[in-house]
Amino acid sequence: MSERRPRFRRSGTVLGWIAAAFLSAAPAAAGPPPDPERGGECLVLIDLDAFYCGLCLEALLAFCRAIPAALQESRVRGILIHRPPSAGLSGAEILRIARKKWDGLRRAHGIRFPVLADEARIFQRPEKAGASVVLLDVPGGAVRTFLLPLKPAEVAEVLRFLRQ
Amino acid sequence: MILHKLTFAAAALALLAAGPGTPGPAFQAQARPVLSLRETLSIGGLDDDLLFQWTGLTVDRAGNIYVLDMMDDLLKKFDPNGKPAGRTGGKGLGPGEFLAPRLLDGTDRFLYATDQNVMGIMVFDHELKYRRLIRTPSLVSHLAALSDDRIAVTGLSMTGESAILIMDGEGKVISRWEYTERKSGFLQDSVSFAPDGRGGFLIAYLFQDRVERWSGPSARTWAKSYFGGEPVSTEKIGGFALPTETCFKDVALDSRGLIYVLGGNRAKHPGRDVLVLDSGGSLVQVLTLPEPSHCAYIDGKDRLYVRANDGVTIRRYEIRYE
Repeated sequence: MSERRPRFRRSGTVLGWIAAAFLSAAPAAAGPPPDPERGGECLVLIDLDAFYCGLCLEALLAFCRAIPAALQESRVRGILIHRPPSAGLSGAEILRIARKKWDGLRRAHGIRFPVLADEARIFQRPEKAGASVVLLDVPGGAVRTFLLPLKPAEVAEVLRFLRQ
Repeated sequence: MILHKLTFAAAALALLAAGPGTPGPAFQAQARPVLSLRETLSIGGLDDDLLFQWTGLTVDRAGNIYVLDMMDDLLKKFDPNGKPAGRTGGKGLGPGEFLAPRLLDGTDRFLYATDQNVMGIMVFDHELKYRRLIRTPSLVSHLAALSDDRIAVTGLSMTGESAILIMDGEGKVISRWEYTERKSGFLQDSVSFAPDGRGGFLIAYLFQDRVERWSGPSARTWAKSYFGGEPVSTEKIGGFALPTETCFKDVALDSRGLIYVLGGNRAKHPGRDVLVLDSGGSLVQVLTLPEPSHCAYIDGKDRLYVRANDGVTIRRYEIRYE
């Protein structure tokens, strides 16, 4: 038997670096509490699989930091997007895993907006991003989508929309 | 304890071919041990709070398991039976805190952890007490602890990675192993590597169909391809030509000198096929894991640790030589 050093070592992945070109910091936001009778609403489409890329995850966390807690609770809803059943995992198991991961993330980072699991897999995963923000612009008659990470001007626009 | 014998594919892979610098065919029919895996431990399930998405893992001589979790930014310790034995870290930029924990390795005294956003290596002891930060010239893309005073790292570079740096405990570069002269571009020469037990390294390219053994800083013993050798296509994103698929994800070594290379998208079962090679790089067999993993870690008692349930579970398997 050959000698082997070290007896234990690391593991991990480098794939997370792929999104380095996209990272931008979102500004911290503050402002008056939302008027419950007014304001726009938005969905955050979240592909948890993409968060093996730490920078994709950081983009979502930056968005969460930029949106005040009261606005998160009253104006924002998350949609957990998950992949179809695959080797060793049924659709129900993948759904439970997604909920568990989100719960861990939510608690560790103080995320306040509620999430819904897309059981029927109606929503599409954001292309080239771990998450996207969808503004339900009813007065404007449009659904507007921003891919994360948001640029500072986009964060400002989302905040204006949520407070309008 | 769940006992679960994995299926494995022992047939030679016809699609595999010899790579650059390979003197002969990559695979030959030889009398070799037949390997199988038997599950001996599972940590983290769908309904508990033990793990949310683990990334790096290492195991000490006593069998304690240390793991980084990127969802709650913690370094967690489990005893050899999988019972929680401590946790530290948390979100932040302070000493011992993480924003995006990634790589983990260990020696008899220390644990070495990286954060995707930190140019350095955080040192903890086995009681999870933070000790210090070893500064590195760049962000760390891969890490192997060689001894209490020697660490091997590769660094992220916009022009492409090209060398393994051997550093002392203060971060001073002792030697530099140039494994490529090409510098193909950002990420494209990224590797996973492991000490080969003979003073050299085994290198598996993440985005090239290429596994190599190096016996010295300028001494490549062999280089082989296992998936046909075709280059990985790239896609222009944000000004960078980025690879669109992975060839290999990780490389590890057992006490018999067998090499375990976890296949990426190029494998028949992406993230599940573990190519077992002999010391010369010839394929012994392919073990197929039940679920995809991002890593393949082997401890000092020839136990294989891989991911399950999309990262909320660690599975430990005994490697059986039949």
